[in-house]
Amino acid sequence: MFVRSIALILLLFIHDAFCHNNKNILRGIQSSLLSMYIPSKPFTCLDGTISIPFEFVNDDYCDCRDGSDEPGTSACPNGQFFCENKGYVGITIPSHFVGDGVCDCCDGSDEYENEIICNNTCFELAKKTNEERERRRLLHEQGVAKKNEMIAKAGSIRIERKNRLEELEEQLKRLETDLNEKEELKRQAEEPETAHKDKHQKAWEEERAIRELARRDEQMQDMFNDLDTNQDKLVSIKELQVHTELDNDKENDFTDEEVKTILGADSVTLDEFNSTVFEQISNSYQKITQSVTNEQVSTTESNKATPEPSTEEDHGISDEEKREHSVDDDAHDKNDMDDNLDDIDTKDDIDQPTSLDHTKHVHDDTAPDFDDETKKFIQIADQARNDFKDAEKKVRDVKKEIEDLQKRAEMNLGEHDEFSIMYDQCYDYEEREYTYRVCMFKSAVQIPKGGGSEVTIGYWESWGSEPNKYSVMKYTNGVSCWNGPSRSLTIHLRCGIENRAIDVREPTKCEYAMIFETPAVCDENIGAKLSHQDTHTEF
Amino acid sequence: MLLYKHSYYISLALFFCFCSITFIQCVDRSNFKSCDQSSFCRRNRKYKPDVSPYSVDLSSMKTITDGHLQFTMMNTQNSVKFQLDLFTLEHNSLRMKINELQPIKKRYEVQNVLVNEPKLVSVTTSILDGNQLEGRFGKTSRFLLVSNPFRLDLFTNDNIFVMSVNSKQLFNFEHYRKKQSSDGETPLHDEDGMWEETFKTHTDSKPHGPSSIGIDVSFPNFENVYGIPEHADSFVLKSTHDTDPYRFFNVDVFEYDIQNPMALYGSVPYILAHNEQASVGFFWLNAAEGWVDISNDKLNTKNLLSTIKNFFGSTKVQNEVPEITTHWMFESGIFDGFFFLGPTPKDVFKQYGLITGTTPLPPIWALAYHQCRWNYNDEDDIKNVNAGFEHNMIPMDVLWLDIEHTNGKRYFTWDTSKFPDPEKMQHDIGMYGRKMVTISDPHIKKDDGYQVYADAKSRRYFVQNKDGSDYEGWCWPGSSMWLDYLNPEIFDWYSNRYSYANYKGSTSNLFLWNDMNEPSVFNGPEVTFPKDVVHFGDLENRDVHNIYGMLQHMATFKGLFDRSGGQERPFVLTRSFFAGSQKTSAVWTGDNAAEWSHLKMAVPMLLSLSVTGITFVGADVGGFFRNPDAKLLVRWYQAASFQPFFREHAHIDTARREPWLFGDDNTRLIRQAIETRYSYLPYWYTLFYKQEKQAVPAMLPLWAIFPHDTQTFKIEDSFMIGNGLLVHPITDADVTEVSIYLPGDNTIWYDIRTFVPHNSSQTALITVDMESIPVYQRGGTIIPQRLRKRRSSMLALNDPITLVVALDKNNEAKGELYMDDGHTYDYKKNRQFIYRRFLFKNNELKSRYDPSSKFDTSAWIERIIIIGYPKNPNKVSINSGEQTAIPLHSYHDQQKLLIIRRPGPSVSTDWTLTIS
Repeated sequence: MFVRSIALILLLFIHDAFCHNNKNILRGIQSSLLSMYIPSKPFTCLDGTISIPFEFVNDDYCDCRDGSDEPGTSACPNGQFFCENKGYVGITIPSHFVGDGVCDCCDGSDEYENEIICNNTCFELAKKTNEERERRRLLHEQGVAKKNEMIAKAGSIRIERKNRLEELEEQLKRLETDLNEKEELKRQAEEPETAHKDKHQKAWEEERAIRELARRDEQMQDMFNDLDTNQDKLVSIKELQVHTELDNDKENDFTDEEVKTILGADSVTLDEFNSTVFEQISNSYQKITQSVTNEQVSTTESNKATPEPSTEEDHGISDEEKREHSVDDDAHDKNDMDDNLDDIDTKDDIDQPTSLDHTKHVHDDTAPDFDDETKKFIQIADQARNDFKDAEKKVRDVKKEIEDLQKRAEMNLGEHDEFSIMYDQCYDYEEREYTYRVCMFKSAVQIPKGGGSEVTIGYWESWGSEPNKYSVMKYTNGVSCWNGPSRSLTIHLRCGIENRAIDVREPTKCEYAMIFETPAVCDENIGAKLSHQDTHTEF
Repeated sequence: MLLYKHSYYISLALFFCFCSITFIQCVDRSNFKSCDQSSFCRRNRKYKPDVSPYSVDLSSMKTITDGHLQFTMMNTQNSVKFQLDLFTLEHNSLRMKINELQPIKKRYEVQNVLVNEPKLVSVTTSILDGNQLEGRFGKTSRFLLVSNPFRLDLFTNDNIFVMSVNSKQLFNFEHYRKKQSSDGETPLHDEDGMWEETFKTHTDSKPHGPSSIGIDVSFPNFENVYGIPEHADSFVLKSTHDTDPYRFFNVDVFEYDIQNPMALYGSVPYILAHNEQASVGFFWLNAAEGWVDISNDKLNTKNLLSTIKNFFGSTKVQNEVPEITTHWMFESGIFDGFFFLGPTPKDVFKQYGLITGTTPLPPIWALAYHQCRWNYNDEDDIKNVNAGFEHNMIPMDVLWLDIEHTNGKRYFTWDTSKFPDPEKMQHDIGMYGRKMVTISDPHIKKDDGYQVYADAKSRRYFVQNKDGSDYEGWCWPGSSMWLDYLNPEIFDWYSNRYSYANYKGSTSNLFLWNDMNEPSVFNGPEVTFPKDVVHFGDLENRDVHNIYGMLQHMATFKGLFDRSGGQERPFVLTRSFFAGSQKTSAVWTGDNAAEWSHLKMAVPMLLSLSVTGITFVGADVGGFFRNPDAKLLVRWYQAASFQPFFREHAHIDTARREPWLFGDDNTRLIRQAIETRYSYLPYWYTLFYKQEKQAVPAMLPLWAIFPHDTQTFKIEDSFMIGNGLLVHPITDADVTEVSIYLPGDNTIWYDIRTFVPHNSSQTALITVDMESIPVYQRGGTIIPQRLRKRRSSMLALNDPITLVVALDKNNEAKGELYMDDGHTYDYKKNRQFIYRRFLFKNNELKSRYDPSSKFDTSAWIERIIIIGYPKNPNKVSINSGEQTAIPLHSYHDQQKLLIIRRPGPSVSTDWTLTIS
């Protein structure tokens, strides 16, 4: 910037002959530009801005804004010095490298004035370069052979995949038919099973109703006898009046009137008691007993008793226990599911009293075992269900395989599918502290050698960007770093004759870089490219 | 480097309460003591006697030698006696020492700071009215020692009253005492915290009890005081009326906060005061924990002694003048105060420099650009970063390696899996004229298999607990111990670790960096040593805390000096420092952050360091913690390219930020900033040479060059580089305009990029874009530059020079150029240097030099740019010896710019350029 503003005004330099050493006036000029530097004419800076006397070229003073007047000196900060490098290839270097004591040209021409002696290394360099080229050519050739194998394998993988897909489609059709059949069989097997189970259930319910009735009758009889303290087969107002618990309004005494309202008469017979009184008082009625303990128990029982003692209830189970109960049930269900993942349809079993219920019920209200016939039907239905589940699983498996294959088919695995055989393959790189494992197109992990859990450093994200898209793989969104970004891995692919990771580094915290050799990136045109190469910048 | 690393940070979070789990901002201040939590500060801040009980017995005066007077002094409350020594020193300086006359334990007097025993000048004393002793010394200096109550007044230029000691009666000297005082002596104040003090989980056992000293030093007629680093605060010191005092206690503050008086990594207990009439300074040589309260007062002149009343120079007599009072408190040691009476800023710099030393001329590459990161991972990484600079054609001189280069933080070793051949690596980098720096911290890993540890352990070289066992703490390597550099034998032994034989893999191309040397102890009180650990000579860390880091970098410097047989100039960078650190080390401002506010704060921090003698200073470019965006990074490069120590550095958790990683445009801007730095290296080098000789810092506040321009006194967004360049770095995002005050009387300022002139005594509104680094060359100066580009400074040593002559209103200008081989001591030993003086006057530019020096160089004068030349001349001729040449010239009317093309003489010859 500074120098530019100076250069601007150099146009105004005035007259006077200027003498300087004409020796090597054309130093550092590229051969293709030599025609621009004609000693008998004024020199026009290559950017066309100004013309200067030719004596100003390479006079160790910067006149041109583009530095073109000083290709052979370090006067301009932006000039280009051309090293001829005989025996090797000519290159241009920044002209500020001229005379700085560093041998930049293999012919040493950039250090022409310096005390330091630059040996001419062009011959050796050329030799080395040729060897290196040869090595690279060979490597790429061998690599390309491997690559072609990989591509060929990718082809057969593709064909295999296609065949397999077809096969699987076929199989799927068959399996789906089979599944339908199995479903029908299941349905058929479940019909009689349900019928028999229903029948069994119905019989049990009827049985239970009869038992309920008998129990009520018994209770009623007991209560009547209980109330009939004078045993005259009649329950009188007096006899009932002692049961003050039956007094609906506790404000006043249990009056005759109130008692009579319950009895509907001065006294009732057993039949009348049964038809009009029992239902009224059965909920509140408390048997008068001698023992205090009994009384308390009965009080508790009657207090908590439900209006319909016959129905299944969780008497005496606290909320806490209920919760535990349900948790247990859940756990139980889970275990069931673990035992048989597909056995989701457990409705049938839910109505069955649980073992816990058994212990909690005073009365034995447990349904009896199914009869042998029903059991037989259940067994048949179970079999049908299992068959169905198996069939279902097979369909699922095949569908998944199809999906995977399709996904893989859609995956970009190189221009010619050359990365195909690496799909899902894992490669390790051993470093002092860690093993790095990359599973291609999936994920990469870092495994500490001294024990400790492995850390995912990235999941497959994408190829690099053009023009060398397939020379870079990106794995991102790994485990987040403390105080940093989530981990990521960039794989730089390089031609090699086998697939292997040869280096892993972490240039920035949590951003890993791997160098991976693979024939897949070997270049079939390397020979042509190398022979057209003008510079050795590649090395 | 940051204090806590991940794993350590997490495990330690249990012990330290960090301010933020999300790790966003700021230090946890509760990890560090407030004045109220430091009992001696609390006691001294509370100390406000009606009448100071201290009295000097003038009749006891003894003249030890001419210039050294001795008195006895007494605390009339408890009859404790003191010895007061006055030393009248050359160059308008005075030293006063106050110590206990018969202490029960010898009080520590700081060693390793003074360059020499200061030179005395004779003093003429006379007793005035029985209670005062007047002393005249030097040409114009005067003191007045008042007997009862004790007071010392100081005058410069005969009559200008500039400093007063104990005029606020805060002098308070806690003598050593026995814990159970059977002698009936009553403590001065409460016993609170005198014998034991607990902070957080740490208890300081204080076996020797209270020992603090407080004193007030007032600056009558001054409104601005500066210095007392290191604080991340404004350049002009603020009143501490509503805050804690400024603190001196070298500590590793994790993610330090800005705009507060908290202690940081280093301490220089030196304050400067400046007004239109005078610049003065006060330095208290004390290495203990210290605090300074600042108050802006009014001084009522009615109450002053009549002898003083009329001594406010030429200003009219007022009833009230402004005054700044500083109240200093140190935990132990003695009072050893130096008073510098100026009267000019340059005089004060020189006076302080004579006492504590100046920055020796660094090797030239140390003034160039440094590339650092925690961490360059391995030899390939170093090779690639070097190649990046080559490829992007960005000049660079030094590549740095942080702690990860070692084998498990065992300094003087290499992680050989990553650095299998460090010698070759240094050699390869050296091929480009470049150097390398490795880190070497003071904590020594406790590991019997580590030679440095095993040797030091067996020799009992470590700092000890008070029970005599080795003190052990935590730092990077885990359990560690610390060498006791106070012991000269250990100091030398440590120096010797840097010999080529002991430091395997080091070469003459390798230099050093001492970090964590406060020292940082992760599990220590306030992240450092407990105060009761014991050093050589039965000293507690309490007495010597603030010089520990300096001793380490002094030993490192010595090691590098010795390894070359005293031929090569060492380079050492330190984080912790003390007064005098400048003699052996560059300093950086530690672990800053990638924030605009930190970029802005760098200027006041670097100015505070510069004016207190620590002149080779810089802040991490880009900010150490977190990631700067491209704009901030570019602006930081631009600002730092005009600050003395220019180094990019970043935390291990940050993204890579080498200059070429932010797109072509930003690469270009960064390259330009670095190239600009390189173009001014001849000027920087000349300034550092002058700095070594004259103690004037390279980076200066505006008032140092324009001491009479009151507008400059509070400026901290601009600064001077030498007397020629005014720099106003852009420290805000998205600005298109900046206001820049251009100081001086009838001065012209030329934009260094466009040569556009601006007049002085005005605030110029300057339009800026991303390329702008507002820098102005002062009319009247001649600045040498190298406008050629090179990869590194060492490869440019023989390149030609461009002289930029900026004319003042009288069409005159002057300047200097210093040159030598760039790296050896030949400039000192054999006068192998060139020191040119250029003078432009009467249409003639002359180059003259001191013939006693001699240095062969092929450098020549390539170009002379004369800015502000009134008209296109007819002819320019140059005469050097017997030869006369007629170089070409061009003239640009609009910018009044005359450019002489290839004037041609060698830099080492005398010549005269004549314009007619």
